[in-house]
Amino acid sequence: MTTVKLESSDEKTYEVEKEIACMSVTIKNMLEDIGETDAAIPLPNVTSSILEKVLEYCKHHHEHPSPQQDEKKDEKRLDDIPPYDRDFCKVDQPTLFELILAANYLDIKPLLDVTCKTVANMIRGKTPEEIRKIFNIKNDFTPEEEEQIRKENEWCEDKGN
Amino acid sequence: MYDINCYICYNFLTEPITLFCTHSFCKDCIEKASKSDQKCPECRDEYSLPLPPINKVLHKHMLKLKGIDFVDSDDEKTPKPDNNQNNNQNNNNNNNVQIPDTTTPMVIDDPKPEFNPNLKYIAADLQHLPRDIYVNIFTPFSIRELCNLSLVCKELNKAANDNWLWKYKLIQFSQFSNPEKFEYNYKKTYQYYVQCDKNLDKGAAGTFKMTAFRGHSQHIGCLSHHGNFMSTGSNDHSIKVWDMNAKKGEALLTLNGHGDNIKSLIQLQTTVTSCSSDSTAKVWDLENGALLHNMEMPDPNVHSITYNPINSNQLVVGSDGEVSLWDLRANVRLLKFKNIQGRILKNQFNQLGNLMVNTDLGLESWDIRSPIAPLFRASRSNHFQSTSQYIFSAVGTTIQKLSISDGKLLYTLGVGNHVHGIHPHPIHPHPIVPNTPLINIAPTPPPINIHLPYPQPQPQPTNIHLPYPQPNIVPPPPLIGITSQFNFTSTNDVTAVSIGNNVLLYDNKTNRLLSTLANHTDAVNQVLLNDKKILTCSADNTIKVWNNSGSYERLYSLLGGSVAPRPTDPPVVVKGCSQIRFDQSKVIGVFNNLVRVYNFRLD
Repeated sequence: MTTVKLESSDEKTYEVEKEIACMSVTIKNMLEDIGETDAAIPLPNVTSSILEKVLEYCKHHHEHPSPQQDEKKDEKRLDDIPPYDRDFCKVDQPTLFELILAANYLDIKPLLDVTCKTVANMIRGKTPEEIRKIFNIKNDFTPEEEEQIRKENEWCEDKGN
Repeated sequence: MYDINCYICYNFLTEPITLFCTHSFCKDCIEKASKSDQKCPECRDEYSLPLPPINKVLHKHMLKLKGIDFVDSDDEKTPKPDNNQNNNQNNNNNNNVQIPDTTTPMVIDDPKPEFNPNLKYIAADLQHLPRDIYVNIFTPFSIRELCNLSLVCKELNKAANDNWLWKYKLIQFSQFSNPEKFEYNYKKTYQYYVQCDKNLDKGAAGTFKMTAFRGHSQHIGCLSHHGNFMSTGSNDHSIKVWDMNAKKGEALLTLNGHGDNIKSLIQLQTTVTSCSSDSTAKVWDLENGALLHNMEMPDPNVHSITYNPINSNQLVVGSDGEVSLWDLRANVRLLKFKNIQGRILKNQFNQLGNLMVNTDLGLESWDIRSPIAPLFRASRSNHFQSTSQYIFSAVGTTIQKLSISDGKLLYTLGVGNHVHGIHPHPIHPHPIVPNTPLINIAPTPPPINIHLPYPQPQPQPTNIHLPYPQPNIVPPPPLIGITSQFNFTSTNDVTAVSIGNNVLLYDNKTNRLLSTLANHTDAVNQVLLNDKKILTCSADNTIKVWNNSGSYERLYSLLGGSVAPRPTDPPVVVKGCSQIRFDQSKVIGVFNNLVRVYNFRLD
């Protein structure tokens, strides 16, 4: 069993099985480029706490490979998050968004999909005011601007989509 | 856009210096390099010392990439009162960076910016995500939800108007798209198509333009379209390619080469594939009309072609006697399906990627990777159609709903009272195929003698009135797929069956009759439906558009021009409008040797 060393942005080093690390396409490509190495791979965009979470996710899915997902299946569905992943995403918002960024940087598509779906579910069916409240966003529009956008988007209101 | 890696150390740029040739390097790296010679390490352009100062914009950009924000000393704009402060603090549990209480200017040349106390961590929150992540999050949303998001804040407004996102939405919405006209603003394009869609709902004069595409000298048997182009195959042995947006209905290309009637066409982005009764299948280049591939079948009467959905270089060709898989690049037959029983009528792939082969003995489903035995075999079908969950098959005077995966009969829709003109084939005992589920065979309907005129209307269910056409002595067509008296289209929810002049709508869940569409004055030739509309075309020379949401009322009729035949017209094979296609912006109808396109996208 070969292992690789990963170094988070705050200079903590983790030793992980190569196969688990290679669930990240970014790391996989790096390893292919540099070949066998003992040096730690620096991950300047990922902090140690997030890297730990990501590795936990990769480890779980490495040990419990999910049944081959049908590619043709409707990707639009939001309610098909497997139980482990759903629990995994039950974290505070900053962590969730950092996980998204890390999954994006490390190119771990299943993690990216599941975290994005979680965020999408948080947004879905909410009014703009509710969304602002949930994500702690300030309304930076003037009433005129708001009216303007409302007007621009009028066309989609009276349609059933 | 900046390159974010230093060409010397291949790391992310640290304190980048940009030379006049626009190439950027770490300050340390380029300083070292400048000691040996003053040429850009990337392009070998000469530069002179002293080195330019650090590129602040890029530096800021790099720090952001690394997850660090800083307060720019030159930035005189008021430091943004951060409403994300709470998030920031939550987020700061594990790094060595201190959160500054006061914002003091930062010295940009500080050798170790990571540890500068004036730095603060960028919070990861909904407002500061890369564009592709927004696209990933927002793609499942409906248009209304996206517009809703626009109202949250400026940042999200920008994200919800992302062009990629709308491109994705547009592709889902409309297969015809012409974004050039809107300078590739996909939201505008989308908006415009929604308007077209509304026009298609109304069908009022002035909301559409009809163009007749003339050129074929004989009946048009098949039609295929992709994007703004369509191709037609005719009994005059030629294929013509048309630009549907053209003002004048002249063919762009005429593809000659087949020696008999064109039976089937598949138009793709760059090619059109045809098969003909001259026992060949050909692939043509849409750009210049060149013949790319020519496949000669040993068996005459090729009638069906279908591309392997998994491998676009593989074409499945069906003739009366055999179904074979061809590799286009090598131009060789890869395999022939043995053990298909009976005379082959039609083959096509279903939504699971299995090949459905309809023969005069039964409807078979094949996994093309194991061409030894079918996955299942069901009763023979006059006409079949697969949706994502079911296969609908017209068997005798019924429509059977089968499971798409194992062919299990889910129910039989008894339209028997209403259907005439079908010649039920005697059903042969089904050989039991090893390892395939047994199929429940529907009760065999009593054979109807096709030489008899249609029986008089029988007592009808009380709620519908079906004026049957008087027996017209057109001999029933041979046993191929659709008969003019009986054809249907199904979605997972609704099945529309045309019988004579009428179309019956059935709810696929409850098996109940939803409505009867009775307005045509002659036989309905084809019925199409999607979740919003039902289109019917008829021998009475009209195309009618009906509402498929709740009320099922007729929205409008599209007239197909004069019924009176011109002296130059070829003999009529199918009376009136024989085939239709439609989408959000167009209705295409085939009238004997010409095609009419009703364009609801007015420019």
